[in-house]
Amino acid sequence: MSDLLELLVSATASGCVYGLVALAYLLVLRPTGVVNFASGEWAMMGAFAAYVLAGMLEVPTVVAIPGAVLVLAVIGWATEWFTVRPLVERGAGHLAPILALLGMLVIYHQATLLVFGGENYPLDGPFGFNRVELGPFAGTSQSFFIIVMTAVIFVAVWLFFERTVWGKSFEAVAINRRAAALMGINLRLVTALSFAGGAAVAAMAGLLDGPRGSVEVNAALPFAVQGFSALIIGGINRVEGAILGGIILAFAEDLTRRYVPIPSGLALGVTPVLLIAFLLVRPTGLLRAKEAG
Amino acid sequence: MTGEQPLIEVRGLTKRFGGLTAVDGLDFEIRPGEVLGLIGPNGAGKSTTFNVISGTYQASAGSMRLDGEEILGLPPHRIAARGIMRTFQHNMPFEGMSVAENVMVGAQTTVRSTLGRILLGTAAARAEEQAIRARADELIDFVGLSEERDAEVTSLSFGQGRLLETARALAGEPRIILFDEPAAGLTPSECDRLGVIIRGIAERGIAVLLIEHDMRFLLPLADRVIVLNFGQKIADGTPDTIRTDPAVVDAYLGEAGGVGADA
Amino acid sequence: MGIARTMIGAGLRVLGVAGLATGVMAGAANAADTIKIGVITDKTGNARFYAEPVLQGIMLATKIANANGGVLGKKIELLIEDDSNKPDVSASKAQKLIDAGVVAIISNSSSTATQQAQNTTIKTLIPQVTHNGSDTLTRKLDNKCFFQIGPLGSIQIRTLMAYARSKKLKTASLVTDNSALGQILAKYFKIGLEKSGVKVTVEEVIPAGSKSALPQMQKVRAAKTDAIFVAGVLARENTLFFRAYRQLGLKQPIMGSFNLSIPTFLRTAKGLMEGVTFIDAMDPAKPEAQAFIAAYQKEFGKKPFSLPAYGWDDMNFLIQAIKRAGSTDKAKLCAALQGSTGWAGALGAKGTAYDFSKGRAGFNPQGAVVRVIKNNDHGPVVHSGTK
Ligand SMILES: Nc1ncnc2c1ncn2[C@@H]1O[C@H](COP(=O)(O)OP(=O)(O)OP(=O)(O)O)[C@@H](O)[C@H]1O
Ligand SMILES: [Mg+2]
Repeated sequence: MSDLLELLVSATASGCVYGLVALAYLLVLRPTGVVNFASGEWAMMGAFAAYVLAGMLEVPTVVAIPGAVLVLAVIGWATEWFTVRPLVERGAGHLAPILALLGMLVIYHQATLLVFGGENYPLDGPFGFNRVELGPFAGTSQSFFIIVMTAVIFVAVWLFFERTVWGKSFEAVAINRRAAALMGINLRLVTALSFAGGAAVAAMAGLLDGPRGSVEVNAALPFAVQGFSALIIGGINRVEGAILGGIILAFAEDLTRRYVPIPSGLALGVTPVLLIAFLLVRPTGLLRAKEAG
Repeated sequence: MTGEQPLIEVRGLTKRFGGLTAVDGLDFEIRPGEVLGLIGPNGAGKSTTFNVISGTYQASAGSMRLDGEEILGLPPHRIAARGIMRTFQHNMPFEGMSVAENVMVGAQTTVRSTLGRILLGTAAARAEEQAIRARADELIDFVGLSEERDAEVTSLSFGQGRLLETARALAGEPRIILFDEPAAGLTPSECDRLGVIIRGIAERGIAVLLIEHDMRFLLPLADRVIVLNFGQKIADGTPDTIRTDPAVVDAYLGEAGGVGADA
Repeated sequence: MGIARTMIGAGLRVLGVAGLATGVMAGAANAADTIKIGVITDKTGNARFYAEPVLQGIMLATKIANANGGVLGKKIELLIEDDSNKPDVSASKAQKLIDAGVVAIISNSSSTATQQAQNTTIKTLIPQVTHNGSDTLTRKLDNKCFFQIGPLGSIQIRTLMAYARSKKLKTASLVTDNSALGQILAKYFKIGLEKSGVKVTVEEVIPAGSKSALPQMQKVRAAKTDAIFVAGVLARENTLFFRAYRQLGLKQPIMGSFNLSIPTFLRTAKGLMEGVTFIDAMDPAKPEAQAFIAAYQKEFGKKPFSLPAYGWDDMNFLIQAIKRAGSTDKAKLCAALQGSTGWAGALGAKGTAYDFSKGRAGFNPQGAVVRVIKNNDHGPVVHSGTK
């Protein structure tokens, strides 16, 4: 029982990381219809940006975290500007931006590899890894930090979409681009901001996860797969789906590894099995599009 | 009213699709608070005129001045931001959103707070959101959708959808509003209601450009009517002069069977 | 300090090695009076993280030999070729080096690439030296002029198992990752442990990309084994392992593979590895190792870990043989290399020397060591040999 309580905090924190990557996918997917597998690279690059700022330049964490997020937001913005927009404006088909972004994935990966090599770099969390107890729940201070930051981000994004006219406009673009444009919504701006926001959120995932294991280029692919799986599980229609999918995935993984009596190598299959199950049985994900009223 | 400066002045507006000239050298102007009817047979180029004005299509030639400033060729969102809002011939609500949310999206161009302030949730930004919400509610009341305020838009009837389009377009605080066949598909009582609403809009000082086939609906509403045929303007005048214009009767009204009689 | 250090850190593989390269190349102005030695290394493939520190050791040994007047009155000239750890490339680079007139080739790449290069070197019987520890490298071909100087994989495992026996372990947990090498090592660990009478009661895998190793380590904690063996080779996942070990308050001894000697862990798992024991090939108490450490420290201003010592031994092994042969003739050099028994390098436990009397894999089976992490650094040897 105490094992379970101990696991809950850690698994929730892992789920938060997955959820943030899923949110990065979602932010780009909704208004543009593009599944951006480079989200994983963005997470990895966010961790490296934090490492450069905090680890190399020795900038305090309170500056390094927003700094790294800003760097990735700019990278996301530039990606839309230089690779996606020219294609869309020249009327390229729906597949073209997806392929262009896969190309960017390779470029991000190789560029980071060129600068940092395949090595692992340490990233310090702001509060270290002390044991923190919250009632019956125990976890590291980093796990609690991940959970709190993720909650703040999701609440902020949710409020933005639910409570602001701008947020509604983003949604309107997702629903009907043409009508949205005729309502005075700047499609270019919304698209660029979606990419910037997606990259910023992915960066948070990377830099929150970094202190646990370390920062490395190879982390990108797992981020991309886990985030995509969380997205499919939670559904692409609602912001809450991303975090729900992330937490379900992390719990499925950790509880299987801990309690299901199969060789631990086989527990690897949890993610693909969940992914396939959802794609077959409930391709819309757990959360359907919102029913108003 | 006629003494006022035109709000918008269109000159030589032309739109070609390959060999077809859908709009051909169209000239007209609208003054604030004026209801200008745009009629013509099917395929005359009415919707195309709207699409060119609203920036959906690039004009082939011509000019369009708003307050004396050239705005033809601006992207749709810029034109909308200048206060030219439209409804669609086929309703285009944002499905999945409520009526109130749809109307709020229409208010997008009126948001003055910067995105940064909105994300930070400053008091001013929140106050503005509140004001927009309040105005959306007011507009919903104005078009008579108060009961459906929180309903998902796909649950609305066709006529209610029309009214929503109207409220949404008004939310952008337009100076000119374009209606593309708003009465099509409405019940007689819905038509009456829409007529009252359009008159109310004009009374607010907003210019109305109205495409309509239903003369019983249009003629009592319009201050002035222009008639298109094969992309060209064949008449321009008050409803009474249009009703009796031989060219119009020949091209259009004639086939409708002497509409003038029952107006 | 912070920025300067880290900037160098980021470009170290490039700058550090390039700096040495100019030193080595500058001494070799006139090709006619140099002794050319070829190096096939992985600069761009997936073995480069191991190959590059080794190359540093090769270059350092060369630089020092040249500074001391060279060998047989001539300077050593290194011809370095990158094989990207691709076997076919490795073989063609070997031919290229032979055509360029090298007297011997050092293979600093994976075992498959090294094996493939042998197909080329065996044709002309040009001496080829490697520190690669694969057991099969001297078995597949009867190549009289191929020499292996590092500790074989089997010796490493047997050494760790001997240490385990000395601790009188009854049960053990085995933790690895899902990399190919991690899986193979785990298999060998398990065979070795069971042969030594240690029962493996839990086997756990930390998949690459995991966000935490807590569930696996909870199972390890529940099993209450006498020790935990780590066969994983992925730095990130091993760091998760150490973190979970600390977080769960585990106390059992951790015994790990040679992989844990990579200094990355001292940074990513800083402070988490105190008391961890791992297989190594260098004994800091050995005078020859101390000479290497001093030379390295003078050149780079920091303590080396064991990988550069492999390269250092590769080169010094060749140099001592050329000196004894009194010639760079390949047959004479081959014979001198064969007769190197008794020569002691920086690798191996204190008091051990290379032994080529029984074969061409010359690392003394009693030479591998088990070291302990102390003060977040590679500490003293706690065990040596396979007995
Ligand atoms: N995108 C387009 N591409 C090619 N031709 C077009 C396009 N849009 C309209 N047209 C053509 O231009 C002409 C004018 O069409 P438009 O839709 O403007 O007519 P309308 O006056 O609105 O007719 P209706 O009363 O049927 O709505 C028609 O011949 C139509 O086929
Ligand atoms: Mg039309």
